[in-house]
Amino acid sequence: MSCCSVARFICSALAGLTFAGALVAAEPTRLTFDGRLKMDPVFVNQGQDIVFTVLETPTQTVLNRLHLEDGREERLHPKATTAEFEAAFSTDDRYCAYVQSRGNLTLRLVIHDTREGKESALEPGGGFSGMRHPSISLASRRVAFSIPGAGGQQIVSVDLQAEDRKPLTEGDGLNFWPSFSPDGRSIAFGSSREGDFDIYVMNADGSELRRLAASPGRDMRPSWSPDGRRLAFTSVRDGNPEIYVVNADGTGLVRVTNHPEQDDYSAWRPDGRQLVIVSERSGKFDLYLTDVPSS
Amino acid sequence: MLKIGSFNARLCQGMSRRAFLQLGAGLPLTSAVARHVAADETAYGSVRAKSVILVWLWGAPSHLDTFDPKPKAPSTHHGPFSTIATRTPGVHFTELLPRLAARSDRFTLVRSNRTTAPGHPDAGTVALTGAPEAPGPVWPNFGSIVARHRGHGALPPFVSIGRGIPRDVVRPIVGYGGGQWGKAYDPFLLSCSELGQVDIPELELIEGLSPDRLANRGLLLATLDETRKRLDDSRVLDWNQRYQAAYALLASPEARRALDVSQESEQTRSAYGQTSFGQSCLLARRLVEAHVPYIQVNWSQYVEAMTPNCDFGWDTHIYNFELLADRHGPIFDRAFSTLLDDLSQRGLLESTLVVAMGEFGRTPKINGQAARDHWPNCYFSLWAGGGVQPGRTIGESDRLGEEPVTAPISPAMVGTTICELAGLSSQTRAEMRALPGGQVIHELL
Repeated sequence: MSCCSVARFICSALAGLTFAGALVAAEPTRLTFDGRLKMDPVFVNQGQDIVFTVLETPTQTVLNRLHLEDGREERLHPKATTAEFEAAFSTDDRYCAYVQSRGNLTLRLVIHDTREGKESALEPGGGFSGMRHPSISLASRRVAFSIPGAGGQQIVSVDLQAEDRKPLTEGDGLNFWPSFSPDGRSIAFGSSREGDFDIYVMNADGSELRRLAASPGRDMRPSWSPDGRRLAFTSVRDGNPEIYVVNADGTGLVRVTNHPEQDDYSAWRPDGRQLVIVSERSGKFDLYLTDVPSS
Repeated sequence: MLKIGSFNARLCQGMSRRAFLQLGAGLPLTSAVARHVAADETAYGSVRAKSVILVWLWGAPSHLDTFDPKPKAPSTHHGPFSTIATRTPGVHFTELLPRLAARSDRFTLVRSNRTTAPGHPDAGTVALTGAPEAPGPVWPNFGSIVARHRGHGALPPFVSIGRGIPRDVVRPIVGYGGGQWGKAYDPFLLSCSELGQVDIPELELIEGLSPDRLANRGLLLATLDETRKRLDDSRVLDWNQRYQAAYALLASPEARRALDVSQESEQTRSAYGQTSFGQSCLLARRLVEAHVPYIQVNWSQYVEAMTPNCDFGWDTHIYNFELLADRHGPIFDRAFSTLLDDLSQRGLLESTLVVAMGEFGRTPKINGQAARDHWPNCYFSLWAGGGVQPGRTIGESDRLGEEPVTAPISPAMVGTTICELAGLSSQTRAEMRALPGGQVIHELL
């Protein structure tokens, strides 16, 4: 499929889905076609573009930007020479946080103020170490991320200059994938503190922890809807990764995808009606847009 | 698509078959010698495994997070993964391996491997040769032993698929090849991309090699002369031998056909997954069909890409649980399951021994980075086809996965068993001075 036909395909699909609403769930719309390993898509530019991680060469992951208007794809950082992944943006796109390989199993967290052109970085300690999964809250002006710490893997936050570090979780277990609520008051994340990975929500200062979704098998990668009322996440409760949506109070669980291969890495479109996900189809990994059913 | 040195050329396009054959005719092709499968009688009868595929899980996978979970161990050990039932009664894997759990009747799991070396290159040498690299001399790789016994055919008898010789930050594995037998018994290296593009690194030295030059003897000789001038004397002889092997391979229609993964149906290629490891497993199956005696598929850096210029594979000192859940587990589960299915459906599994293993396991106790470090005391291996009785679990580890509670399986036993099934009797091995004193894992057979 040519670039133009891809663009037409995407535009017509977007238009159709916008007007059709969520009454009848359409088939997911495929957005990329190369099948390369992809991860961590997020909408930027008011939903017009998607930034995601892709395995560009056997030895390098890069951040790519997909323009939905014309299907163009380009590197976010054209001069990057080391692995970069897991980009997160503030809702106004001014701040971009991402993980950058610094060498031998060491990862640094970069916070880029795109308006000022300034970069702040949180450097790993000695030895094998590093941060993962940044999430930015413009409301609270904090960046939450996951890092190895006492007793396991912990959630920590810093300010937008990568300073004022505050631990938010403690104790045994692995705590991954923090996601700020739109108002910046809550953080959803995945944790193995009670066995396998389940979805939890806590206040942005780490208080008032509660379990939101639990099942045998992994529940992971929560993502808040733009209105803060629902969360999308990946669950392996039926034996392979599928996307689910649940209300912020834990009720109204809805299954979004149903396919024998993997569906993972969900992120909300700013209108709250669709998710971009990474789906494996016939062994290939591509971005798809899928409708969000009502709860 | 076959990548020849620095250019890509779809086979049989842009270059005539006649041109290939004309070029090949002038070269001293050792491949002209027809390969035979030795009628050697071992303790278990004649040759069980006409071919061997060793799936080399370089970097060392965690046994607790894959095939030997310990859900009743304390939280400091067991990790975040649920367990799932397999087709083998009473045996559970972690949730990362649903396809293999559904196919546990196709292979046998060993949970009591133990090695002596704690670092990657030295443990890699032990795992692939059965003996430590020091004080030396380095023993030959199991593949070199099988290859020497079987001799050369249209294709090299020992092929290693991956991104070069597996290495860590410091150095490559010494025991990847012929060792004390010399470079003539090293594996022939190929790499295979996620799109099934096969690369022959031996030919990458030749700058400017193009279809036109390959088709024109005068231009080719000029190119070779230029290349020789760039090499010092010590490298010329070695390069000549290896180049000839590579070129002989290109000159053989059978060999070119075997390397052309694009001849597979889209359905078959998809089944293995669009990953380098998946397509490498598919290439291995094609090499089995082409009667290559020993193929080593190296799990390599391409699923990780976190660390530039280093091949860490399964070496998950940080983010063990994420990497295994997001990449290593699904990629391995899909590709290895498909390999077993594919071999079985083509009637090849019975005559092909498939072994998957790393150089050691990983610490049962979760480390300070919420991951796992090196653990030589206990790890797993998978065995299928080639005379192995499938659907069983052999050996057992203790409640934390720290030590085998049954007799440990050593790397020398692994190599001896591979060679035995490949038709090398104890007498033959003794005559070759290969794996002296090695014991067969009788429970597998």
